[in-house]
Amino acid sequence: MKPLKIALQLGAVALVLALLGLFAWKVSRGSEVDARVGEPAPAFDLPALSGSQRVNIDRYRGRPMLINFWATWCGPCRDEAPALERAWRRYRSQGIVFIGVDIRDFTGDARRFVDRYSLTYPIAYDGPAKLWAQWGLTGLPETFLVDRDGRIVEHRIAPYDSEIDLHAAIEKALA
Amino acid sequence: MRLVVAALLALAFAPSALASERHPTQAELEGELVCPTCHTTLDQSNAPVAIRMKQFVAQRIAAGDTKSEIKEALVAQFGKGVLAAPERRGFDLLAWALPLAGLFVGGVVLTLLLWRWTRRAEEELPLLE
Repeated sequence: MKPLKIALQLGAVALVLALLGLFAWKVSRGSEVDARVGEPAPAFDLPALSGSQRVNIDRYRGRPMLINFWATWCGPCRDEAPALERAWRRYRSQGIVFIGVDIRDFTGDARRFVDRYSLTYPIAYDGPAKLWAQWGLTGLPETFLVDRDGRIVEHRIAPYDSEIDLHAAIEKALA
Repeated sequence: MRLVVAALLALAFAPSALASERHPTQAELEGELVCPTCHTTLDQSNAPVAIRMKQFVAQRIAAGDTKSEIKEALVAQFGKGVLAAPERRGFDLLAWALPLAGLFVGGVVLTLLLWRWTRRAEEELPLLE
């Protein structure tokens, strides 16, 4: 009976340690935000909203970027979309890349949204919101500006209501 | 006798389960799906994405989709996080099996301990006299 008792006790201790380890791993992963101002923008590789291509941020390294997270059910995202398209048309010749990330959304709705607002910059689709925690999103829309060195220079937790603010942020990334 | 009762119960509930699968109601699906932004079931949420999901569910029910088809369509868009309960297949089956296994193991351990304690108490009784 004694070896069995020792085995059971060791098994119980191992189980408790394993559960503690799992809990610690989950807690440490849950609070992991990689996208901070002054830090390099985290990499991502997502399917494009339309077609079979992918949108991989690494493809645009060395160029300034504007990364805008949005969804069709988000009212401020609808208000912001025309200004973003206008800014893209105005600044793309200066080398900046705009990437829209449609998140927690229906692909059908998102494609109609892109058509309605005539968005011409690359749009990635992240329905399951894999980037949500990594990019530290708190709501929608949120926009990140990345400079040529790949560092985040601005994180906007609201829509750009004013095109002056939007252009100033883009200029910061282009500088 | 127990087997007969179990079989009768299974037969009694099978048609309603089948009906629920083939002709799901809006209310039951809203209770089984989770809003991805607020993490409550759809029937508890008025978040914009939850409202859109409710519309989608209503459209799919009207189109004659089964409960599984509607859930699969939403999982394809939003991931498994939209399911209020894990699926009863594949790896997710563990979420259902582990608590039952834990209860069974706990019951066995408790029974063994009780058996040992009562036996020890019985052995010690003559000494007290």
